[in-house]
Amino acid sequence: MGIRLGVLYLALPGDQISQINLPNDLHRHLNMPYITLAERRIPVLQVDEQLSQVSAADSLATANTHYIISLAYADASGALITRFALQVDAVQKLGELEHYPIPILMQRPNSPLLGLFTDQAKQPGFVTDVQALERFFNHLIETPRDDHDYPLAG
Amino acid sequence: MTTTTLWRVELDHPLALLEPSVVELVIDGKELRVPYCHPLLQSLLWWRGQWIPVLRTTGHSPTLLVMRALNRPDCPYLALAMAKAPQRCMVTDQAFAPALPLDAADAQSPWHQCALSAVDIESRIVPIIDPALCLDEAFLEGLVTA
Repeated sequence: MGIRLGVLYLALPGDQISQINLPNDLHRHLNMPYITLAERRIPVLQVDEQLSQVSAADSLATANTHYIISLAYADASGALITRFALQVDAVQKLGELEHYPIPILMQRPNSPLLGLFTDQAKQPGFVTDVQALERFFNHLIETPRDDHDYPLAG
Repeated sequence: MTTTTLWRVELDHPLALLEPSVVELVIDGKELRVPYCHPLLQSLLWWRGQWIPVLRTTGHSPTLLVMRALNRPDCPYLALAMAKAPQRCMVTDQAFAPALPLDAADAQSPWHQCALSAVDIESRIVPIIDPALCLDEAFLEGLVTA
């Protein structure tokens, strides 16, 4: 599936999107924005298109957002885990992709970008997956800042 | 007396490249910005059916010189971004300098780390750059902190 965050165009495995919500599905408990999935509260994160910071979704950004996607992956036992949801501008089904590597020397540690692709319209984007995003978000969250100290759901 | 063809490049310091290192000059190429990556390697150039990294050390630099990085199978080509096109020049054997100047104002330039040799161009000793050495991590860090 393809998702867009501003100008950032990402592709991730379709089975890793466990639910798609609209902005009015967003709830808040104190300062925690969340959506509900199988009676669990899933925190909603936002990330900028430069991948420079991640934070809890704020109301202003949510108002301009089109979708909230819950991201899941299978753990070692095969159980599906959804630990966070992400605000995105667009979600689309992708057809056949052409894949290209990102030169290793360009990459910073913990980058969520696993490779490049071009879609059928020859639009370039970046390949990612939920584990890479979670690792990246944890890395950013662990970087001392006041504005994105935010726990992921366990 | 024999002559050698070089390409002179003006970045923050003058540089020279041997002709086999220079592949193509690309103007208005298709670039893709890559978020969260090395500060000097922030985009890729679509070139001959592949994406190659762009080394950009100066602000406005729309001209891209595709260089061949010999002995780097992981990254055989690299584009160097510059404000103006490089100039081709011919130098004689006598113009090759035995060493880079240690007392010159630009002796601390990180570009000296990736110099194969040096050449006297218009009374200035200019390093001849090996593009493969431009991919060295320590050199890139040196450029960031320079």
